[in-house]
Amino acid sequence: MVSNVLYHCPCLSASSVPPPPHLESSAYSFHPLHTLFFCEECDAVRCNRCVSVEVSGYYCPNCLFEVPSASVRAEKNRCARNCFMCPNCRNTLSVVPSDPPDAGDGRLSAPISTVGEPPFFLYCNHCRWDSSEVGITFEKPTGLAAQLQKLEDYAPESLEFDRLKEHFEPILPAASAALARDIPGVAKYTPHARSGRPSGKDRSANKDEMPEYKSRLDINHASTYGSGGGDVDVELMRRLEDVSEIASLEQRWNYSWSTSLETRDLKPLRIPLHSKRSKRCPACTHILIKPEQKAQSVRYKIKLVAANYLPAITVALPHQIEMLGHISAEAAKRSTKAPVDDDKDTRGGLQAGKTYPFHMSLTNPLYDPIQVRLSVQRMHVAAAVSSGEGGTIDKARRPPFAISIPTTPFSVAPFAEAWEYEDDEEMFGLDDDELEARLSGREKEPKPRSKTVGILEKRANVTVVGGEVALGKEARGEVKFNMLVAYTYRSDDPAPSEGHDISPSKKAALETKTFAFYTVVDLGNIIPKEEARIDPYDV
Amino acid sequence: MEPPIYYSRAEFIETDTGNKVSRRATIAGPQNIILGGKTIISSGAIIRGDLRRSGPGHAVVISLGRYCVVVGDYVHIGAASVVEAATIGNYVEIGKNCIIGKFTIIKDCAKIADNTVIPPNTVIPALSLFSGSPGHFTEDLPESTQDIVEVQTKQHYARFQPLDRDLVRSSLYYVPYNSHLLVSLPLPMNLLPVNPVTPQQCRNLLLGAASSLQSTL
Repeated sequence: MVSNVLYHCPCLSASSVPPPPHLESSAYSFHPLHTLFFCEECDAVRCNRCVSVEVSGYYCPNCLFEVPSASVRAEKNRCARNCFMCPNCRNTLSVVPSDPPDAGDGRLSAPISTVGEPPFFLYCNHCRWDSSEVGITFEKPTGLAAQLQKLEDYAPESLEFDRLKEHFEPILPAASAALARDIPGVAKYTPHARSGRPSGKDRSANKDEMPEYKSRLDINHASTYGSGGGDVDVELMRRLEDVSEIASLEQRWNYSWSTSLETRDLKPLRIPLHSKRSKRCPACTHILIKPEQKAQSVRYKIKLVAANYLPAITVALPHQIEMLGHISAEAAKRSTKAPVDDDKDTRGGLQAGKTYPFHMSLTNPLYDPIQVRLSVQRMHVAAAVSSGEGGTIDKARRPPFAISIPTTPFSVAPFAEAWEYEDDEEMFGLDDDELEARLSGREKEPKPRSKTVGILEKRANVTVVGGEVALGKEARGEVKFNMLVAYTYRSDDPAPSEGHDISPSKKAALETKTFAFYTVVDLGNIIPKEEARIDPYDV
Repeated sequence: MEPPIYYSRAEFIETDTGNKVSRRATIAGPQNIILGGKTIISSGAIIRGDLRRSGPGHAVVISLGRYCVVVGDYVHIGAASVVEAATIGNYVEIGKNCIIGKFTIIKDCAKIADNTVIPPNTVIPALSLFSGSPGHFTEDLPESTQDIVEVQTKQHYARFQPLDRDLVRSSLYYVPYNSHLLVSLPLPMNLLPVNPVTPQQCRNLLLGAASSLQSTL
């Protein structure tokens, strides 16, 4: 669908008012509802940009083995088992045995063992690369990483890295102490607490006092190892017949500076580990997401997602829905095999100078009824006025459309599990009497006048409201507007600090809570007048 | 809010458990296939239950639905995709025009983007998005993926209505137009398709193989 609704997370700005949706930068503060979190303590929406993230476990994405964090560091964040990546195409490599020796009589001899014939080598199922090309073969098909260990340990880059580590060891405690101070959660992983060194003294060892580092190898001679330019590379290029003989940047990215330029020298890579992460609220450090320990489990011990707190809003243009329905119905009648094409939105598009109704459906995830009040943010006008000095260009940028939506509060019935399985409308009406009375009282009013703006439909925990968008004659661009959604709900549990024995009067005051959040509603692109005339014949 | 997808009543067979199977779908070896209920098999789909391990006896090759052996609940497979995975978890989304190689293991809540080629023997961990050719890990999916996929697949089933507008209920699976759900057997190396370059090429290869198999059966 072209039309969508995104939710605002105020994390990046000081003001809670979102930027106008026509600014390019506004995209960064609006997110789909299902990617947002909700902190109960702060009573605020949090997004992936603002939560603080902690690693709760590591696993290999190929063998799915959970790696204890102690060995993660020792293995340099890569899988230390049998998992390798193709250096050519990044596919997973598989271990294959050599062909059995030819008996000479033209028949294949029976395999000697079930695992196959040594030497074993790594083979890519996608690009057909194999590790015997670079002289890597194995005696047995298990523990490959251990068999390669020696090769890796004496590689010039790992020796250099060890030397660097050694060099920076003395100033590491101070640096990690500073890091632990600045970034919450780091302290857990740094071993400096155990070293027991007084960190006050170390802090004085700032960057200037660092002894100069002397590399193991002279960088100028790096070309002898295959890179760093020089005559060797020039000579190589001169003899080049095929571009693919030179490894691309992406293929060499994971290696050090001293690798060869040539594709045929690429070595298999150990697969980098993935992590499961828990997420905390940046303000109060309460946990928002805590995954289960098991790597492949998709359950969470703690999961505070915004979808369980904020009403879900979807928006649709009825004339588009109708048109798509027609296309699908016609296809079914003709029994053509062709599915509905993707270029359907050209016919159901928004044409300049016309007025379109649109539907917004609000779904209540709470077990209590909510009262919702919608209002369009009058941001465009202000933005246009402030930039009005710009002249004619800015005039075109003024909102070329007017939005009307119902401004009176309306209710959305509570979520009940039973409704998930009942499609009949009969279920509606079995709600508690008080709410029902209110609902029907309000519903009687708008129904007879079949207007487009107002409450259109109520079923289960969904309320559909209608709005209208009037497009200007010269309108172009996207129809996008910010909408403030404020909802009031009854909160059953009083704040924990208040204690349990509160007087009834106090309880009544606690009973309703209001939460407001901003959304941006995108109704899709406007088809300018001249194009609109041509389009129907194109389709 | 999504528009309904209509089908003609004459074309589809509906079972008591809500499965909707197109008469235009090619289903081989139906005795080896279990549908778990509320499964849609669209016209043009080819489901190969006959590609089973050799040997005597009865074997369930493909099981879609609640009592899953091969394909889990709430799985959506896009149009014109060729799937030869060993196992597919619950809440998995596979896009259009994908090639899923043999013995691929797809864990719960994984998603494969449109036009992806997953080479054989790949493991796709839970809650990850794979895309490209060959398919690579692209990003982690949000924590609420399971809920989203559940809602989407149920909605899809509800939208899939006969033309005379019957009341239909929520959904589980959808094997759409022109897709090929093959569950593979261990094949010798020399039978593997040669270096799949584009999805289209690979598809043609597999279609050729499938039709030659069909003619011999």
